[in-house]
Amino acid sequence: MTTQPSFQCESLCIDLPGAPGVRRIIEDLDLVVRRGEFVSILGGSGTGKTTLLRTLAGLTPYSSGRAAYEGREVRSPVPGMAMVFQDYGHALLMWRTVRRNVALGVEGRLRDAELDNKVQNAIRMVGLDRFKDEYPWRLSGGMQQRVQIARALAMEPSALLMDEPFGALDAMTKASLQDQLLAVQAETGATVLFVTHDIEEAIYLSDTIILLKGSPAHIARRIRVDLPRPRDQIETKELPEYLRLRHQLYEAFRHEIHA
Amino acid sequence: MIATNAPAQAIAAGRGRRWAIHAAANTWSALQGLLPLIVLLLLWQVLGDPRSPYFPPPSTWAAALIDRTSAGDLAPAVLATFQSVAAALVLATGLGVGIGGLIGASPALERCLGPTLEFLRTLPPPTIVPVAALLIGVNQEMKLSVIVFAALWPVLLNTTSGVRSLHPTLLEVARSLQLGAIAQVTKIFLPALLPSILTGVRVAAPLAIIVSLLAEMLTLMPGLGALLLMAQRNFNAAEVFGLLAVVGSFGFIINAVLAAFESWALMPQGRS
Ligand SMILES: Nc1ncnc2c1ncn2[C@@H]1O[C@H](COP(=O)(O)OP(=O)(O)O)[C@@H](O)[C@H]1O
Ligand SMILES: [Mg+2]
Repeated sequence: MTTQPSFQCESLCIDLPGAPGVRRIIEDLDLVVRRGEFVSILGGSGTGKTTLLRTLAGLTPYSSGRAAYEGREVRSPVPGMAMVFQDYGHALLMWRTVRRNVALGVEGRLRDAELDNKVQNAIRMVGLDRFKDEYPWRLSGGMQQRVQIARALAMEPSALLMDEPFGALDAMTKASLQDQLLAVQAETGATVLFVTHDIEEAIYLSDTIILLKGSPAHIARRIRVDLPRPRDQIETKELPEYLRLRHQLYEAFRHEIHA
Repeated sequence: MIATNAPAQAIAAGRGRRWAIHAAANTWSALQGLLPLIVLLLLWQVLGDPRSPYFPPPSTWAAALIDRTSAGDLAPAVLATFQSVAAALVLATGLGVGIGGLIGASPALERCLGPTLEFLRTLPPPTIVPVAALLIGVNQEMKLSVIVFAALWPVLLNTTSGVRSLHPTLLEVARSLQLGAIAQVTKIFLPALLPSILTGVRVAAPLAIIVSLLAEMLTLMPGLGALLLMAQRNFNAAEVFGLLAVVGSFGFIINAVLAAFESWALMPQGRS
């Protein structure tokens, strides 16, 4: 068993084109994510959370430093990672049924029986068995997002990269999908990088929270979340440790707002 | 591809049935829309003078068409025109989607080709016929080229703008799933572009018919256009009107078939 981290960033700098020329979005970021760790990237809107996640996914190039996944530098999307986008409405293929959407990432590589098996399993994990032959545009937002998660799961990724996946959903749906995500992670042991601007969501889900701040953004804080698992929407959120973290994070954001 | 099973077949059957109902409703409403035309023709029939050299009533058209049919001219002409139009539409769609897709995907290519294409597009297709006849000769290839030249633009322009309006997230999905280039095109981009492409084809179809008839009239190559011109030269008004009715129905049917295909093809996208 190696102790190779899942993700590793060293002095990572990311620049994006802007009106006056290139603009530095992320500066000098160091990060180590253990295998199987659930890490949330938390920060205000426009800080660069999406940019960081996209770079780790190999979708956005970086300027200097190093970003590695399982020891190899990330320059383009690599096998083993699966991305879940916030706007499920554009991330799903509306002309494919749920089942064929879920199969999209794996259908070229497997025999029929094996493929069927993987797809069924992924659909089961997100609880969509009853809707597997339905078209996504006939499903609710929460169900569409579950289709996207199932599509990622069918690829049996060792890392799941999620960009505010529950940001557009109502509170009830959000809570149920959070629990489902935790169950899936416990079952698959995948590393999860989870972008959110929701403080409570970050605490509830994570092992570690990375707080991004500033422009260009840097890691303002790393917070270990020592809450017992499995977590529970009611009990976990009443634990003194949960309340302490919640207090600490809101405090940190208050300072950012005043800054 | 997942092995099909009962629920998938049920869905497919459901799609077929829903589509059939849809198509029947469309056909009915189209026929209702033709009612004024039918009334007009009936009035013409009742009030018209069968010996009029300019406005012979519909029954004489039918007689003229029957004459043409028994002379063995009509069916081959319809077939010739149909084959040219269909083949040209297929070619124009392939070319338009290919070129339009590349131009939409590459701003550099757009800069290189844009002005040239813009120039070609503004040339009226009828003026191309003599040039093509000189360059290619009066033959099937020439006819086809001229029709393709006219029918290409709507497909090309629609595809280009379709590519440009593909949602960025969809492009990222394609990349992050690490599908090969061909799989990306066939599984994601072509289906996503299908509505734009089909709109282009529906605009292109009447143009293809017009240019096909025109080429037949100008060159007297076999087809409805040539028959029309001959009838006119023989001062056979009944036959001219009869052929006009055939041309009208020809266009109407092609358009209806394309509309039905579009609604069937876009049904899974929830857009028909
Ligand atoms: N494609 C892009 N090109 C140039 N600048 C971008 C692009 N996407 C985002 N930005 C800029 O980068 C900054 C960070 O954006 P983003 O990573 O989306 O923030 P977050 O996800 O934290 O809200 C923003 O100021 C935004 O304007
Ligand atoms: Mg974002």
